[in-house]
Amino acid sequence: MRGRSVLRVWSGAVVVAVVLALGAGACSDGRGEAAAPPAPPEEEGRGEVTFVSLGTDETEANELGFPDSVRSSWNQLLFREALPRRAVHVNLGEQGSSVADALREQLPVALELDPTLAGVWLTATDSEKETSPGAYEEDLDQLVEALQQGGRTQVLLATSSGDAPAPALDAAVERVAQARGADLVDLRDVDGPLDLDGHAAVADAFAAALGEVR
Amino acid sequence: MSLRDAIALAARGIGRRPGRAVLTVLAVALAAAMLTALLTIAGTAETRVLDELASGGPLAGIQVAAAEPDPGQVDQDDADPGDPRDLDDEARRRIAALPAVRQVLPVLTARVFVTSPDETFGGRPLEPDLQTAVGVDLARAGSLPLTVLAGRLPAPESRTEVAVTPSFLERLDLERPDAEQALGTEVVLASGRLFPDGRGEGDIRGRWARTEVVGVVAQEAASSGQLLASLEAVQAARDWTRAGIDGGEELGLSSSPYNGLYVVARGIDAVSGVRNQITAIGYSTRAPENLIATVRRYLRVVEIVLTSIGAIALVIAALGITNALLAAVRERRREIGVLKAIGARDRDVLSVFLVEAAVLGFLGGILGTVAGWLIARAVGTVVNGYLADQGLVGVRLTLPVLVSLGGVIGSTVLALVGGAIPAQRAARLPAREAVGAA
Repeated sequence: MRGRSVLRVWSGAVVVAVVLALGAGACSDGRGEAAAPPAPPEEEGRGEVTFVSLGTDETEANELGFPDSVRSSWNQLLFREALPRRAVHVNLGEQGSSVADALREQLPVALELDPTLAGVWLTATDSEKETSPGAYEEDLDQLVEALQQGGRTQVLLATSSGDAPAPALDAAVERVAQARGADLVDLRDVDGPLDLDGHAAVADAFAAALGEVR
Repeated sequence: MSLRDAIALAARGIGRRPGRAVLTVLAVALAAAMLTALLTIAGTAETRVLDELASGGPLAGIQVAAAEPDPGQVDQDDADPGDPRDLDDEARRRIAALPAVRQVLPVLTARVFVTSPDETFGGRPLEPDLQTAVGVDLARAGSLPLTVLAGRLPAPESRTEVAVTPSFLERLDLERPDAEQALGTEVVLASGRLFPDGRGEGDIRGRWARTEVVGVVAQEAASSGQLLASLEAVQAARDWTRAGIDGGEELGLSSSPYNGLYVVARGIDAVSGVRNQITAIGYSTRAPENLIATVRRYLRVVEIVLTSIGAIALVIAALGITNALLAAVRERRREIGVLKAIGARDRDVLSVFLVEAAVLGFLGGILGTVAGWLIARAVGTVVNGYLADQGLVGVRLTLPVLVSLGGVIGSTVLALVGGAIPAQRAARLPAREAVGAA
């Protein structure tokens, strides 16, 4: 009887030992099967968001100096803080550009990009050049209509700011926005020079008019 | 006597002196543990060294440049490329069609402006700087020479994820051991495009994209690039730049559709032949084949030496079994005599003691294999801690099935050899003499 109990004890020890060894053999930190690559972030599957900004000196933002001009201008702030991460932004603003200039030079590039969102701020140069409100309105209307691409592109259309007020042109901006169904961005309450705070205030105004973009 | 009876008698014999049995098993286990640990560590070290030589990629990896070959390059691991030559889809197809080629992976690069919106760990935003973004097929990242230090690689086809290199960490005021802190950082990239301006000088416009740092890789990307992204993301940047009035030339974009290819041959022995064929097609190649072959030879010598040390330890343990069983035979002379008196044959007595030896060796082998694996893991933990402190990639332990099986079987066989002499002595004891020796 004692022999059988000893046999049972040692048999049990053998079984446990075999299990341990098999387990050790199976345990490794080796490469094994390669893990499946991760999926892209879910928002990337929701389609592209291409934002173009058209404008004049304030949009090119050279007065802020580098690197603030590429980091803290109103359009870059809008791009980073109000748009989803998958959005891309092309700044087409050109120093000294009037609406007529934008129609000729900035619009073709914007259309090439097939944007989903366009920010337009073109009052300062025309105000400086004393462009007639009628001609301004006609060109602006043509610009906005082309940008909208039959409704594919949301257009944010800005008035002049307190830094360079242009009441006559602002009225034209309002009329075009209403006629074309563009979103009006009222910058008339943005006072003072367009420093970093000024650009931040402009960006906030654009963001308020934009609403949520998913 | 049946085998079952022999086993029962052997078990009773072992149980009669449990202390001696435990010590004998432990001696075998120690030897098996040393053998297992040494071979596991040696195998892991070999894998790590070869990984380092191949920069984390397959050993049969070949880098193909968009350049003409050096006629003598096949004999050199690091050949200097010749004049630039476009690497296009036709070249890619010709290389992929070579019989000994398993995979061909494209590599794209683009010059991008890099900045960050927020303060970094140095308390200030990242200063804008021109860098090289490298795009690869991240769906087949396992075939690429990439080693992740922290986080993970960007998802395949993702346009909002990037991985960075250790030199980029310096720009974030981070050291290599702190690589994990870089994860989640937002970096904004801009590819440039040259537009005509009224002055005839050209005006650069950026296409800005926001990305998140999801990983840190150990290897510096091509041409000291600091960013690794998907092919799609880099292609989009290149397309924007190439659409400029200069075709991207002034912004450093080469005319070649691909900046390089990463070719994986079907085996390390095929690398030389594949390099010859790619040279004949007309492109420059690089591969650490000569270095890997030399290192493998030396590692094989190390493996032989370590195995020998482990085997010597097992032989010593087998001698311990011989000694223990000789003592057991002396103590159980009367029992042997009684067995023979009631009809047990010499071979029955032989089998009892051989089974006893086999059980001791088998148990010792099993325990030793497990202990050896645990020792190797402990060593691996210490080594990985040191490597992590140095900002280096850790090692990955593997316990080959052959090593564990060999440890157990080898221990059992050596125990049988060690127990053969005592078993024969017991078998040859005359019954009358054994009984009378009480």
